[in-house]
Amino acid sequence: MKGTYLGEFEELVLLTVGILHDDAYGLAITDELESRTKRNITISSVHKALVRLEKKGYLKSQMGGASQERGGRAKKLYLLTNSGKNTLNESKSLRNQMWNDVPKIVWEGGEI
Amino acid sequence: MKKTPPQWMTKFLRWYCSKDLVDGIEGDLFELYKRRQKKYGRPRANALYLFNVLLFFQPFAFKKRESNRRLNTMDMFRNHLRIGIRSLLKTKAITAINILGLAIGIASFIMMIAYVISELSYDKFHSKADRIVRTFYSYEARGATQSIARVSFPLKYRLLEKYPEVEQVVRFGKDNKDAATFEYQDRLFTEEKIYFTDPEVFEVFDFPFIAGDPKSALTARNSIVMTDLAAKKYFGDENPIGKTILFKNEDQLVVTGVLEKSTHSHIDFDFLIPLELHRHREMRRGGGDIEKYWSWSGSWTYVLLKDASLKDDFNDRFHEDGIDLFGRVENPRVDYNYASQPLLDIHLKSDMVAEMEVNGNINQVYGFAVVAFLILIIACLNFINLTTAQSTNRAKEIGLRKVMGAYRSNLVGQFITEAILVTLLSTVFGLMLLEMMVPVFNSFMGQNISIPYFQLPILILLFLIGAVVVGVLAGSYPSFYLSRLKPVQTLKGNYQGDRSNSGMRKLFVVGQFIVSNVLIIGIIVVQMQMSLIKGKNLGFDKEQMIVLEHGSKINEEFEVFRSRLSLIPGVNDVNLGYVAGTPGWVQSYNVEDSVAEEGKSMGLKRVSFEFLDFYDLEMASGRYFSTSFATDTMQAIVINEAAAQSFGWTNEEALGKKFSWYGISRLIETKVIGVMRDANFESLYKPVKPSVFRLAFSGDVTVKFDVENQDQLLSTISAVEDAWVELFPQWPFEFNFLDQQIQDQYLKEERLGQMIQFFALLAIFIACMGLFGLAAFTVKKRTKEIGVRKVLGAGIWSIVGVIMKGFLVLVLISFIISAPAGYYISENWLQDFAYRVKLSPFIFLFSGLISTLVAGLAILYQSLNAARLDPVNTLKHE
Repeated sequence: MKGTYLGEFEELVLLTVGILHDDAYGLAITDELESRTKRNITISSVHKALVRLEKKGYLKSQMGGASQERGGRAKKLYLLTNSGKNTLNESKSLRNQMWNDVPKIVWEGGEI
Repeated sequence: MKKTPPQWMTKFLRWYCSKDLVDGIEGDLFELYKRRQKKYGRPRANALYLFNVLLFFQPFAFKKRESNRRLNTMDMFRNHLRIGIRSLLKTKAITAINILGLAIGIASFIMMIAYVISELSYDKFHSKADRIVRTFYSYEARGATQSIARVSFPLKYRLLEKYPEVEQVVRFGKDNKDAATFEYQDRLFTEEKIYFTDPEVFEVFDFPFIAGDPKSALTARNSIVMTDLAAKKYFGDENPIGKTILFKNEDQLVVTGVLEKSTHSHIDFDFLIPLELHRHREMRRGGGDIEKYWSWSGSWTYVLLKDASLKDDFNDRFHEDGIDLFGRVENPRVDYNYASQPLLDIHLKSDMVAEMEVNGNINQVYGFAVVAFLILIIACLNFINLTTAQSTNRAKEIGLRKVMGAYRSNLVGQFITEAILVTLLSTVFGLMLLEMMVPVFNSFMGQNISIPYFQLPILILLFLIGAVVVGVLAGSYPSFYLSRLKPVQTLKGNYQGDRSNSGMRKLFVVGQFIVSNVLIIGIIVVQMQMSLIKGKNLGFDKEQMIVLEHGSKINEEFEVFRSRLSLIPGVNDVNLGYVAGTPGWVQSYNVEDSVAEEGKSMGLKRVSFEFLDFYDLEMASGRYFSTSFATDTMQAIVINEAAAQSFGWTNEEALGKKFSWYGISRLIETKVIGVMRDANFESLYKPVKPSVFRLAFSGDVTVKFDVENQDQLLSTISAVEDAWVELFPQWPFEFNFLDQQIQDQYLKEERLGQMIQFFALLAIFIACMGLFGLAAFTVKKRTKEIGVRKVLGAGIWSIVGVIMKGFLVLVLISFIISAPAGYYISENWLQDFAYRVKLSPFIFLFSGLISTLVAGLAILYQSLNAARLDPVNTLKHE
């Protein structure tokens, strides 16, 4: 296991799973990420991240319903686990902490 | 319009993608595809789909090995090994046949391949080997080209002068007609392998030096370089460098270098002396200067080129220039065609007149390699056959394993493990056998093969890998066959084997016996041809004669020696000059009024007045040389029938024809006074060479005896020795029996033939062992049938007949196929001989009879055993 380190892309994928709540599957996550980040995101990298996150225990999956639109294939739906939520929280509070510790002058002083 | 992406792409995705993920991924990609198809159209959507499929081709998406299989691999392997050992022990006889057969096969294979490698590695140890070529010349006589391995000595300077690509030229020469002696501390030695050569020899060739300086070893005229073996013989453990030895009673030579004896060089020498010394000795004796003497081709000339790629170019130009090059030299004979050949081709591919030694034969080496592979294949077929034959024994085990959930791949693994176990055991036995075979082979073939286990530890690894490969190859058919058995059939009780498999087995038996039969035919044909050559009447008397090694040194005192010997009872006659049965000289003649450019090269035999009577030869027309014609000495020649025929003359027409040739200083003209009946003076592989006989008063000395028995012969020879020691104490008395000497020409061929025969016999033996084992199984399978037959009143012999019929039909089929194949191969081989046996159908019938007999004996034993069994025992289980 790679420990609990969360990469930037993984964090985004985790958050997107949270956003989509009960319809978080590969393609939907990709679409959501693309529209939010305006980046080109390949579907395979999203799947790869999902597999890794599931292995780390931040996500769990279940098979959803099949539909004609998907050629009769079921969706693999992802949900945040508690440990996933904790990690996101930690990550967020770490950032908040760091934001707070940046002296105001940095923001107001302009360029040196 | 189709709405799905191409099937093969999806199939590919399903192939590699793990089960957990494939649904989700495939669904996502399909959704995406539909969206893209609407947006961009089908082709682009397809391309993007493929792109996506390929992007998913990453480790995270791959199928995972089922974890349970990874866990017990070691345990299963151990189990396979244990079951394998148990089943081997259960059928001890078959296991023994299997292992012995394979061991013999493997040992023979390694042995023969080692020989082939050794033959192929000749002269490769010279670091510049690929840049060295040897020059030779050819001439055409009536459509046939004759090539001579030696050229004139002065050619060296033309080569160095005319061709910028030539880096160095080294010549070797040998005093062929004169055995050399060395004297060291009052001991006399006769040496044969002594060459004179240029001091630059070690710039071109890398003969490994043990002591001395390669650069200067042969620069002084009185220097000599010897091999370590020779040095040991002369000086024991003393340091040879600086020691002085006496050469041919005349020259004191100082040892300046010791070389390691090279076993894989076609230049096989014990001593090297400077060319300058030989030249000096010749001039001292009143002969010409060999460095200026164009008409004697006595030099094996090796050219070192600046680059290996220049070989062809050099050869072309050399060939072209040869014509003009020799138009300007003092001797205007231009029947030469010069050319060059690579050093590495000499040992196996060159068969010219005047080679340094009898070379190997590439075809024989290939023959060896083929027999080697045949043996290995026969041994493997044996193994396959015996293993599949055992399927009945293993059927229950296989069924049970399958019921317990074994995949087919597990079973294949199991049987291949067993096969590898057997081949590994066989390899170990084979290597032991090999250790016993190598010394026998070496002493028999005059070879020096060793398997360098310790110098090359990788060999052992290689042998083991080889064993595993053979195991996998030999084990794959049985394992795929066995693993196919259906548990339903095998477990319900009386599984009696599979018909289709017995067909395959029959095919293997037929294959083995085709190979064996061809080998038997080969053995018979080789045997017949060899005895034909041995027993061939050469056309001259060769019994009870000895040739004296140093006879040519006593020229002037020959008559003294002769009259001294005439006093010894038992000595019939003494002759001076050409010895029948040995290779003679070659000389170019201008016949009748032909211009010099049309000189014909012919054999030359320098003979005495007594030659005809001495060897019991006959004249076909005219007369032989006679002391009553004074002109016979210089102006008369005798030719043989072959020579007359080659000019299209009858024996009578040939009389009085003019032959002229260039002596050392002038043109000499002679007339034919007689034609001699053909006799096979030279190799029987070739037809009688057109030859000229000329009177000479020097040459070898041959003594003919007229004795009753061996004891008398020996006492007469020792009387001759006494006379020799009395008259010529400075030269050792050494001799060869003429018939033996002639026989020795064929020694190498004969031994190689015997070796191939030996290995062919082994191959047949292995095939019979296989048949023996197979018969055992067939019989076992049919015990019940035999029991029933016996109960119904069949006699032992009728049962034996029933069993043997099945096998003998197979042997018969293989005979029918092998006879034409054997005929074709034998006919090809015999084409090389001038005197050859006729292939009669009896050879083939005989070989068929032998193989049937041998196979019959192998089966007879088994079927007799089976027929004797009491039906009470064989039938009681039912």
